[in-house]
Amino acid sequence: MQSYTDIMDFLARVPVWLRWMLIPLAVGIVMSVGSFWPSSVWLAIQQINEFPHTYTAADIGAEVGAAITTRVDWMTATFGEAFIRFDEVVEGGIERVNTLLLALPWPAVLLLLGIIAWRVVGKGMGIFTVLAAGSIIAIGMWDNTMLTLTLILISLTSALALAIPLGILTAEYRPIEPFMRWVMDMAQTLPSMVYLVPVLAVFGLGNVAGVMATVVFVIPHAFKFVYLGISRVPRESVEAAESFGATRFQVLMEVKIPLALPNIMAGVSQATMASLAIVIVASLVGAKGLGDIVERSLSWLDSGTAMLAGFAIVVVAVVIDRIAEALAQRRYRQMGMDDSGAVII
Amino acid sequence: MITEPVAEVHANRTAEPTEDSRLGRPAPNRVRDAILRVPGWVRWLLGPLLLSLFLMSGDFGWILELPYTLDTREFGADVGKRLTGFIDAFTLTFSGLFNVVDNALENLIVWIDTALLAVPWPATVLFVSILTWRAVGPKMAVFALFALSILVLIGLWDPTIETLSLMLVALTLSLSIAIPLGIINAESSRADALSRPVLDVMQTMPSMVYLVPALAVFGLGNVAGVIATAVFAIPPTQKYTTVGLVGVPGATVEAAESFGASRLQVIFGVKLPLAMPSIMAGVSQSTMQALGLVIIASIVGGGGLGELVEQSLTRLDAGQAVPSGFAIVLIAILIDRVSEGIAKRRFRELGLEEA
Repeated sequence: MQSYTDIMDFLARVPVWLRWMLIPLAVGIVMSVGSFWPSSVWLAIQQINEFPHTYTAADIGAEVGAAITTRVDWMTATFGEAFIRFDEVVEGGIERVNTLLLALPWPAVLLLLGIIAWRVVGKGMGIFTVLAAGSIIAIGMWDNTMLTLTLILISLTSALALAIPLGILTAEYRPIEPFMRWVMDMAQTLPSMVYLVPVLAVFGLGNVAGVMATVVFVIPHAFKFVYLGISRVPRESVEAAESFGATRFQVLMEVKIPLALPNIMAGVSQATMASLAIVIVASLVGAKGLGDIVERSLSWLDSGTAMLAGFAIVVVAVVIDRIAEALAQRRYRQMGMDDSGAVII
Repeated sequence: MITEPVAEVHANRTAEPTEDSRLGRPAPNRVRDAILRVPGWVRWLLGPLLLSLFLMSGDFGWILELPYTLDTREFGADVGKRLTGFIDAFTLTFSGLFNVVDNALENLIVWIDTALLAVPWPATVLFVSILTWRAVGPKMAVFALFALSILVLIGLWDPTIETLSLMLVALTLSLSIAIPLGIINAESSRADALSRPVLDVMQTMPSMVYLVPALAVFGLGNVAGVIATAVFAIPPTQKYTTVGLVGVPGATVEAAESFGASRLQVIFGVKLPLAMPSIMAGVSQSTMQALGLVIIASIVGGGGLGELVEQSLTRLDAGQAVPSGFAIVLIAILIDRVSEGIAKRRFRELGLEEA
């Protein structure tokens, strides 16, 4: 009896969450010390313990894998034509944009980028941009950089073209809101590499797979800002417009979207950075460009080339980030908000 | 800025039109007038446009071809080779140090991995489920129970545990750098000014870039991935720590000081506990970042679930890619919810809103 109260006393002194952890601790001890058990039970327990490392588990895994492969093969066989057609269209688009970017005379591109960075961010950033782009040319990474930019451009425009209407729709049409929020929250927690898996199953290896992964990865980032921006437009503004007889569409176009524009721009800037990050990882599914150079030279242990391509990526990232951020903040300033006022995420 | 000169132009034209025609000048202000009417940003674009017209009209092919010529490529390759040589020399010089770190970390990872695998899996599953239940809620706990059981069932338990132990090591390293750095930055504005640009650039860099120097120093293997992950996960925790510490109300600090607390006592006794919610939010962000990179680190030979995905991606094996991708999804959701739940619990304990 005495020992029982002792145990309860001890338990009462342990914090609640730790008290709960005594259960797994007990299970762990009981399941790993053989002397508690008669030998037949101990054998069964050992079998349970060993289960994840047995052929049975591996077999189940292999079976699941085989089932998935069958489904994917069936899908490719059934919709193969459509996928191939789609693939060709996107690949054609990528090629066209890339050819266009490469056809631009590079001194003019340098000047253009420099002027944009200067006007949007400042003089220092303008000079940095020109020097950075110049050094990318000097180390022979220009065409790969242009290809990466092409992929970003195409996937970003497609992603925004999907995410912005989707965000507006979700903010306007309440019933789908919880579902969309759930999907987008989920999508934002997933590591970028996961997005490559379904894309691989459908599109195989190549630039198109990279673009598709990027589009899917980027949508949640832009969506969240658009949705939150529109649904958090002050009620007074909406009511004022409604009391003057504005239709729902008019309220949306004339009141909500203009007031949500700072948030939408912030979303675009976030989406841009997200697309840059995954376009590079997408080299794992065969997307070309700077990421491909990094990936290949990493696997060849050629750290020099990897460093150069990595340098180009960092430079592109810094320039895009600063310009996008400055553009987003410019909108805040125009609307008379400071940048803490609008974004509520 | 734009309207003023236009008005001036108009004034000139209306005032002295006759003088211009008398002198036989063809209305000199019309071009300027037209240019000034164009919005500012378009005017700036005229420069590149004219430059490209100029370059394309003349015999400047050799300039335009410059980025694609053999010379440039060779120059690039040359720079690359020199860089490789330099890095190799660097690693060779400090190979003693790097080897020590490499071995120590590798041993630590193996040790943690073995220890986690030695625990009977029902106990681990139960532990994670109860933790989830206490931190998030019963629904999530049921999810954890099912998710982990599925991982056991389809034979993905070992790689999952390996990914977790890689994350654990990387995150511990990262936090042990980030939190002190955050404290230093909050206490000294000079340190903050020095490190802020670096951290800002670090946050804009895509995760894969971090693998490059790590590979150069540590070669293929788990250690390169862990080091890259540790560095990659520093900025969020550091920033949130600094923000949390700076945001501690001055009155509280003064109260502590007036009772004769030393600077260290104020930091550890007053500021850190009050900044805990913010720090925990940073840690939860760092955790998610670490998970993301630990998986990508399979490119430089990291093991675990990422390795399975990477292998199957290069082999075009959807049958392996999908289950291991699914496993990553399950763990990501679990870790995200649990770390967020723990961070929020701290808010509630301190009686703060989660603003």
